[in-house]
Amino acid sequence: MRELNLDRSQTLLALACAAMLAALAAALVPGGRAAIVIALAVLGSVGVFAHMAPAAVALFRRRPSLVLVAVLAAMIIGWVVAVVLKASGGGWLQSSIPSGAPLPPFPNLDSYNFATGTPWPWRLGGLPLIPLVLMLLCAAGGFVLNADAVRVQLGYAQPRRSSWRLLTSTPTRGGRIAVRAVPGVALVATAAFIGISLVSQNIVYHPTQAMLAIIVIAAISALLIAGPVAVGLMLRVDIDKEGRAREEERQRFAAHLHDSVLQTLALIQRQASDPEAVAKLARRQEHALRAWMAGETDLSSATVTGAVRDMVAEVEDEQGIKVELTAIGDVKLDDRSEELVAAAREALRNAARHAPGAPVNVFLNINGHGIELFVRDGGPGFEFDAVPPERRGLRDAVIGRMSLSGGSALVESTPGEGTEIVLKLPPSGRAR
Amino acid sequence: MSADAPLRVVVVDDHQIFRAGVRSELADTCEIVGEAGTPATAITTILEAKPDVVLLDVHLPEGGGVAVLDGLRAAEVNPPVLALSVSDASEDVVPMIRAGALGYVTKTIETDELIHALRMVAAGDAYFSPRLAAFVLQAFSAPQPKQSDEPGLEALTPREREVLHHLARGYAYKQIAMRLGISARTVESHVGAVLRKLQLNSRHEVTHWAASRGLIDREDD
Repeated sequence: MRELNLDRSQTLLALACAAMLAALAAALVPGGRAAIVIALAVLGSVGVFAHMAPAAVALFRRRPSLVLVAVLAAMIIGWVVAVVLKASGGGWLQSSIPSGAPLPPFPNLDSYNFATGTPWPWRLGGLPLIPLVLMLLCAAGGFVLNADAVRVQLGYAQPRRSSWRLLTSTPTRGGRIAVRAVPGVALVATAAFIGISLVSQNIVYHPTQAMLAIIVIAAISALLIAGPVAVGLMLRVDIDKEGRAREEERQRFAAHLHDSVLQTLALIQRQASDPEAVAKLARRQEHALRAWMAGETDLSSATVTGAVRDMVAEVEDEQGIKVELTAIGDVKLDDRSEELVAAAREALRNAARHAPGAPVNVFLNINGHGIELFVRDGGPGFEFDAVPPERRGLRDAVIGRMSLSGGSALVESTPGEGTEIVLKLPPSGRAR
Repeated sequence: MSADAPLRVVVVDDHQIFRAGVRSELADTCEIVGEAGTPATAITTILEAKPDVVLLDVHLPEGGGVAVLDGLRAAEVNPPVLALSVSDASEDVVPMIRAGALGYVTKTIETDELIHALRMVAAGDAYFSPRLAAFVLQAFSAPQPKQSDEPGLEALTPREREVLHHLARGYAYKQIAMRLGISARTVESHVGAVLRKLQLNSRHEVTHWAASRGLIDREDD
């Protein structure tokens, strides 16, 4: 988008500008023909638009606040062109102020275009629409920009893309307040200028009321500029409060580390001669810390992943084995998935009993098709059919349990290749 | 490179104690030819030492492991890289693989397994730990972006998905080959294909990919 062909676009821009300059020159020549002026100006504008429009669209998409600046610039250019046209005597913009009219009532907003002296076209109930709408747009735009400048200064800019940020293209960091504050104040000032020029012609007939109206407009403008600052100062108080809350959080963090990690480290130092105990302590602490960091301590029994994590840690402690747990996805724990966790506990105990010292992997895969849990050990393996029927551990605690809760269990084992127990549970909606 | 020659390894990690630990663990089988604690020193060290394999921590100051991979690519030097981290978060791991790392292991890995992983990566093969395989499966099953101009992930073939699934369950390449009735070399090529699908070519696409999934913050300036 930004890789604009500058050479070509610059040439065309230069041509368009030349046409515009020719239009201006033709307008300044005494007795110049308005038709020529307009034709040249239109030609220049079309050139500019045709070749700058894509770049301008891209620019505005990147920085939407520039639209407001562009509107302001277009207004000023419009005035200049109108004044020049009037000075050059273009007949179509002749002034037509009525003379000797009776005293108008207050407020008289039946005002005249301050550039050309002609009455504003397009009215609604006698009110001139163009200056009123312009005034509202400028005031609103200026207010948004000012508020945004204050927000950036206070460090309240959102790190992610918010709708607010899309509107004003605010950078995350401060330090560039003027970029927003200056056009913001300029827009509010423009709104005030339009408003004052609307009422100022009443000064001739109603000096007191007109002065009052001007003071009110000035006060509103000041409010539009100062309002965001005042709100910002109030937000500052909130930020300070948040800072205190964070400090409390840090203290809570430190207290937790002291209770858990530092205690474990002390135990490890004392038992340094017993490598097995040290490994067990470190492993348990690692699990606890990970769970705590993931914010899972409080939720442990609320989701399947949390429950499996707890279960694995318990079996590791109980059996003195090391289990590599991998989990993707998560879902709320219910009666059926509780049964799955219980079955997985039996499967894991079985692996610990029959494959001591071998690596054990647990893979928990939760998605729209339900819950899958794989317990795999790299132990000696066995022939499942050769297990005497009276040895009921796997049959009851794993396979029976799973089929009762609407799931399935599969034991796959090859002598010498290890054992894998696969537990599957379809989503609750499908089981019924 | 013969199998007996000691691997020449550069260790990049900002924890000096951890580097010392790795050095003593690998002393028997590998030669540590360089150490670094920041992306900048890592890149110069790797360019000088020309190691067989780089052991690279995901979490480094000044841009993380991804900065090292980007720097190496900019210098057009591509030593095999094994990523390593304490993290369990897929948003830390998957960008490393996408940026060019050939494998990922956690810091709690056994020494033997680490040496095995280093050897595989040094030989140019992908090393997928069960956890990485699961993360990659997850990345591919994430909902694809709606806009057509966004580079989504090319879908996995059923076979590739099956291989990843087995890896996540803890099967070794040889066992997967036996279970699926294919050769171990074919399993390797499936894993390699998954890796290539993950590693998009341009840096822009990677940042775009990461930003669109909220993995990194997209700056507008």
